[in-house]
Amino acid sequence: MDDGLIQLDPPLTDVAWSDAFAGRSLETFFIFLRDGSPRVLRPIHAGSLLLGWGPESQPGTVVVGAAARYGLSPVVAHSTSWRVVDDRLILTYLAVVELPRRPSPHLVEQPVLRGALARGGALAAPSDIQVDTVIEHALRHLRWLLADDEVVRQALPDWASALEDYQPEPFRAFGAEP
Amino acid sequence: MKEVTCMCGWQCRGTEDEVVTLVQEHGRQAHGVESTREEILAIAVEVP
Repeated sequence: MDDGLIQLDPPLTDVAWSDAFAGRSLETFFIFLRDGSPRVLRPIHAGSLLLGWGPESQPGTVVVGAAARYGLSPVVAHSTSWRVVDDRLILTYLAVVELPRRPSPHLVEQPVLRGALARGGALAAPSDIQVDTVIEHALRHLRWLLADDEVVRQALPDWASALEDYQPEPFRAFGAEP
Repeated sequence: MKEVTCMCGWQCRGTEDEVVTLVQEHGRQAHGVESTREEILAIAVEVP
């Protein structure tokens, strides 16, 4: 019967959105320059710092607040990637901080190690992503921001030379074989 | 379900009773501190 009504298409997914269905965490890496080289502060009892992130809070605000708890002074906080681990969505933030005056006993300073990125398929994320890979990606992202974002460039005048060897990933992809 | 993240990065998740037990064990073993149930639940966050 043609009653003038159109039939709704079925939903794109069969799960209604709700924060009750998917957990999420905010992963934060505090980085800074020491003698011109990037260093990372990592928690002493975990590979990375995973923060609770409720639906009522903005992730950038959570990151800046966490930095203060560790006595750190953030200069730039920027999200750089996401991934799913054990049914949990993890949003990664890079927080560039000033050189720590009194390091927190809960954090350990480490050099940033270079490495390859984790690669997935054309339609799928990498099956395994290590924390060092996440940091590598984050610093390439920061290098791209330094070239593209005036606010970040002005906030981090010493970082362009420090990240000179970090090829921003979007530009690298442009030169790849099809 | 509750979750607690220690300043050192250690994290646990579970029921209230499980989280209290885990945090108390972690506090003793890793940091040499004692925590009450009330102190632990005050810093625990609700997670799915």
